[in-house]
Amino acid sequence: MSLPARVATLIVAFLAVAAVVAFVVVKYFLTSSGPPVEDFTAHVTPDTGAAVNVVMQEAPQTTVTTDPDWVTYFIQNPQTHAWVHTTNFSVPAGSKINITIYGYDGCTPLRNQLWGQVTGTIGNSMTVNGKPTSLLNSWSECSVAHTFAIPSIGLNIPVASPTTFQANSNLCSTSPCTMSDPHTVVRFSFLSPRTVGAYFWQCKIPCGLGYLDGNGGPMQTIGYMTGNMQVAG
Amino acid sequence: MTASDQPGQAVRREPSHGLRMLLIWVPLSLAADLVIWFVWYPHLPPGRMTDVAAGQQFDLAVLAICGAPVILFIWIFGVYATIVWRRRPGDNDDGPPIRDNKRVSAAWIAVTTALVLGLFGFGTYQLIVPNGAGGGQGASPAWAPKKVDLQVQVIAQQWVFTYRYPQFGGFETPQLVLPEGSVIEFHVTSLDVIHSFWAYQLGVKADANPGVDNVAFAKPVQTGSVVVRCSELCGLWHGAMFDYGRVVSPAAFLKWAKTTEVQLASVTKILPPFALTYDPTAIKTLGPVLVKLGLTGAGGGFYGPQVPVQP
Repeated sequence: MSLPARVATLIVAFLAVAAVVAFVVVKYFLTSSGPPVEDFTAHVTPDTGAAVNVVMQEAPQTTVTTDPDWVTYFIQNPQTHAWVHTTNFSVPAGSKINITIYGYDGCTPLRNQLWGQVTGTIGNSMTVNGKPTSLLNSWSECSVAHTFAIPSIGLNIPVASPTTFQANSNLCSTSPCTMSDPHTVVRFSFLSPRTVGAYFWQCKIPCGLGYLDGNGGPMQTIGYMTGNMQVAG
Repeated sequence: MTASDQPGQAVRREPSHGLRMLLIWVPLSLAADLVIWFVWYPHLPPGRMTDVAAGQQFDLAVLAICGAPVILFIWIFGVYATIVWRRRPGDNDDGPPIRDNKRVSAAWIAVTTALVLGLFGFGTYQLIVPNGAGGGQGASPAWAPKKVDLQVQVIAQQWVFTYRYPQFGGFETPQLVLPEGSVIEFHVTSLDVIHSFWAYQLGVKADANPGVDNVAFAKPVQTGSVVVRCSELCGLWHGAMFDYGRVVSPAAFLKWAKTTEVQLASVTKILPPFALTYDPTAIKTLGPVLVKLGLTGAGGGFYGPQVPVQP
């Protein structure tokens, strides 16, 4: 084979490999953006303390996905008020974030009782069905289903569960759950950071049914029991 | 055939290459070791915030001082050989045959053996004398200080460290605060998967295993900030599992501890009694609640080995 032919072959082979690598990167890394981000920044000027209302629900299952036995959160779209299966949302920096969580899942004990304490909210308290609460004891009563925690800003919310036998025996079976299903209403407010960026949030109760000690599945997957709060400037 | 082998020409006397290299190597090694000791050593990780951190810094300095002459010897030999024994124009002969040199071989074996055994002895001594050198020693430490001033329990959980202070009512907090000048006994454990408590400036690194009490010691000798990281891949947000601790004066620590004990009194009441390890799957008070509610498995309890599907 002549020298030009060998060079041409080498270049073609190199370009073929480069094309395959580029395809894999674009296809599987750059375009796999994960669950959608619900945007709560519209019409709000950052760093003014303006209020933003975020509504979520935690459901005992995810019948809208291929993992129906995974517990999950949903976020309500601020415009359409439709429930969206995601755990990512964006809020304006330096604003008052009012969060409402509808708790549809049954009670589960906290692995660490410390997370029964409400921290990081305005007044270090929340309301459960309208009643101010700062501490839930999940080891002595049926009271906590999951938690909503943003560790980097010290936010920790034990999300209250239905407390009665009847409610816990008739949990919502199709997600997203509806207002007629047994649930609690948890409300709290906190100030979003002034520093823009992604702040991950998580549930601290190992709630991955079927995974070793409950640590897998929805616990480790964005879109179920963990996600990102994107703070925008 | 070289020029010196030609009839009628004087035989060129081979210079003492060993002496030459020695004369280059000794001053360079001395200079390198002095630079390491006086310039690099004070800035080596992990600093001198605790006795064990200072010990680790000293260990690194000693290793660097021992290693620098060895590296320089190799480099000098390579450069010297490349320059002095390079092929010159007209020199088309083979080099002289290489024969065994017993003196060189013996010296090489003696020096490397002494170096390795010396570092072995030094490393062992440095591990034992500073009470484990900041490493986790398990539940029954082989090397412990005579007196411990403060016990701190490190509890790892996806994806946060919390700290219990049994000498102050057993309160638990996400803040790590330590007093300067006190011998600290860390009890490191986990509530879920395997983590690792790495307090960089303290020179402490101990695995956090569920159901295991891993003990490590350190004595802070400087005030300042401490970066704590998990150094065991522990799940989705492993990279975000870090916090910042503080070493403060004894008076400031006492004030903080007493204030925090009062502030957290209500949550301390519902914590399990202080223990060296915790089994969250065995909550004595919970059983009756679940039985009363008729709840099992996903409705209330932890997912233990009885759950059939395991990854």
